Formats: sequence, C-alpha cells, structure tokens
Amino acid sequence: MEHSNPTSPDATARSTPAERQARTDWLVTELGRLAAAADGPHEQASIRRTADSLVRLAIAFGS
Amino acid sequence: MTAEAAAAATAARPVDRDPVLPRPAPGSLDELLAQSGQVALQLSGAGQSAWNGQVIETTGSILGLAHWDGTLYLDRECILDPLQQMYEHAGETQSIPTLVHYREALATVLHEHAHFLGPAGASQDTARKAFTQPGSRQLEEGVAEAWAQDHLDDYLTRLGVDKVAPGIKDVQAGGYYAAFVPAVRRISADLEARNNLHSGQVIDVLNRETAAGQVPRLASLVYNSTRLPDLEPIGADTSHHLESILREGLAHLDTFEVHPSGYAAAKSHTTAGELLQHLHHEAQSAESAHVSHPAACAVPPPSPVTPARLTSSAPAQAQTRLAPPPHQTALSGISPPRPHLPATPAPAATGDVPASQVWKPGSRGAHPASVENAAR
Repeated sequence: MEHSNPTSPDATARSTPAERQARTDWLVTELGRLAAAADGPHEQASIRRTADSLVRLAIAFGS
Repeated sequence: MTAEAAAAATAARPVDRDPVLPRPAPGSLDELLAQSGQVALQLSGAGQSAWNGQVIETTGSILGLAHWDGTLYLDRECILDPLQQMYEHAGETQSIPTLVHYREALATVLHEHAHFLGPAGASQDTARKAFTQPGSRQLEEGVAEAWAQDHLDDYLTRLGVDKVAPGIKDVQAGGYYAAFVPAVRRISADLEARNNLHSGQVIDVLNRETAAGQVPRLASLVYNSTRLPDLEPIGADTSHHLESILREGLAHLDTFEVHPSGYAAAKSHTTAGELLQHLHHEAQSAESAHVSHPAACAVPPPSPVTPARLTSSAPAQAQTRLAPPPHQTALSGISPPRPHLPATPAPAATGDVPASQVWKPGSRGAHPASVENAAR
C-alpha cells in the first residue's frame, strides 16, 4: 500500500490537513538546521523569517 | 498611556484615515511600538487590525510573528535592541550598516502588522482556518512582504523615524520571502494590466484582506479580467475552478523556501509565469465554450476529389474544420509545475511560539505562557 509522503510537493496542494501539518513541522525543523549553517546574517535572517511563517502555520493547524 | 493601552485602542476599530489631531512622533521604543499598529492600519486603508496591543519579546528562534491571538512577537537581539539603540542615539549620524539594521527591524515590524490587517469585522478564527488551506500562506506572506517593502519609507516618515535616524530612507535593506514575493509581484502586475489598475493596486487590495479573503479576491481579479462575467450565467463554477488552479500554483512555491534567495526568487518568478499561462488558458477555454467561432478563423474544407464527395448529404457544418485558437496551440502541453522536495522523514508535530518575554514599557518580564522549545 502506498502512503503519502509529507515532504512531497503534491502533498502541499492535495493532502489532508494532517499531512500538511506534518510537512509544516518537518519544514520548521529543517529550516532551524539550515539557519544554523547559513552563510551570512541576511541568509540566516531569511531562513528564520521563513521558519516564523511556518510556525504561524503550525499554530493555525494546532489551534 | 502605556504601549499596551495605546495599542489596544487600535485593535478591531474602524479606520481613522484622516485623524484630526496629529500625533506627536514617537520619542522612544515604547512609543514607537504603541503607534506602530495604528500607523500601519492607516497606511494600509484596511478596515481593522487584529493586534491586541501586546508585544512579546523573543530570544533565539522567532524574529517576528503575528500570532493568531493578536499578539506581536519580536526578537530582542535583531529587532527590539537595535530600535532601542536607535532612540538612544536619536538624531545622530549612523553608519550605513547600522541604518540597514534599523531599517530591516522596522520592515519586520511593518510586515508583521500587515498580517493583522483585514476588513472591518473580519474574524481571526476564520482567517486562521483559511491560512491552513493550500496557497494561503504563500500568498499572505508574499503580499505582506511586498506591501511592507513598497510602503516602508512612508511608514518611517509617518512614525518620524527619518528624523531619529537620519539617512534611513537612503539605504536599502534586503527583502525576505524570495520564494513568494516575485510570484506575487508578477501575478499582481499581470492582473493590474488586464484590469486597468494602477501599479501596486492589487497588492494593496490583497493586503487589506485576511487569509480568508485573499485567494478568493485574487481569483475574482483573474475572472474579471476575462470576458467570462459577460458570457457566463451568474453562479457559474469557473471562478472556483480558477481559484483551485491558483491555490495549487501558489502552494508549489514553498518548494523553493529552503533554497538560497537568488534561486528561490528566479523559480518564484518562473512559476508565476507558468501559473498565469495556465489560468489564461483555462479562462480562454471557458470563453470559447460560450462564443461561436468567426468564419474568418475556419479552415476551408479540402477540395472535393471524388464525385461521391460532391453528392455527400452530410451537413455543411460537418465539412468545416475549425482551426484551434492560437493560444491553445501555443499552450498545449503546459501543465502546472511539479517541484521536487528531498524525501526526509518528518519529526513529531509542534506548533507553539518559542522563547519569549512580555514587552512592557521599561521592563522585560517573563511571558506567563510558556512557549519555550516549540517549533524545534
């Protein structure tokens, strides 16, 4: 049986809310890792801003 | 009046677009924060701000976040401390990097306030639910960032920051959300041209909507840029079909979020172009179902080659082959982008806001609600 992958692009548009939430949580974690290894303060800030947006989405899912 | 009290007066109030009494320019960080919401509201022309007047100081993870409960979260090191320093050195000449730092901090403040904006009476709960729908986050972030970039100088002037930090309007700060902003700008510019609107108008209109209204409003702009409103009966489903295409295209943009800004911006722009082509193709297909093709576009039937053909009893229209419209030929085979993401397992779900302290004038106490360790 085939299961949907929360990291796949199609999951974004066609998946269930639970799958999108799982993908969001994965992205927040991944962005935290990327921010720590970012080249330069602007790139780091850019990644942190993206993470902020996904945290906002995660809160929306969880409220 | 404290910052919270002053700002609380801002929340969920109708817009006062032409205040009779001018406010004195903020002379401190507290006063800046107190006025930050009302000035953003006036600048936008939105019906209300959902900001509850509270600013929570964060350390570490969150740079800026407009919480669904109406609270504004701002990072101490990158946002609040630089602005505190700005007022401690008011009127002094600063280095360009310092001015850029101030400008980026204020751009973040304005961006976050943009998230709180909406029509009068808009529900945050409805907006929050809509934000989880495909494409909503990408559009809202792109609109908030583009609008904040476009109106930052005006915001600084209205808050008197250009006097506190001379030269701040002469420096450029790098924008954020490179995966979303170029797409939003390209789509907006296309719709402005098609709907005979002035530059920036679509972003302004979208910025006055919450997540509940943004994608539907964008779909309406697409729909109204076609002949379909004159061709279709009221209640036709085409607008919803266009909205679903928009959502799918916008949702794909987050594929580029984890890439460097330059690459993300280029892919965002390209994706928007493909999305626009898809939308226009669908709209024109729907239009073609309602209009008869002019005779000039018909390809004449082949010359009769057999006597039997001359005596054919087939209806005349069956012998007339319509040429495919040029746009169908040009766009045949184009489909929405199918981006690729690395397959990495997802961790356990989280969703709270990280480390924070309540920002109050003159103090930085611990936030009562523990939001430590979230989003990690």
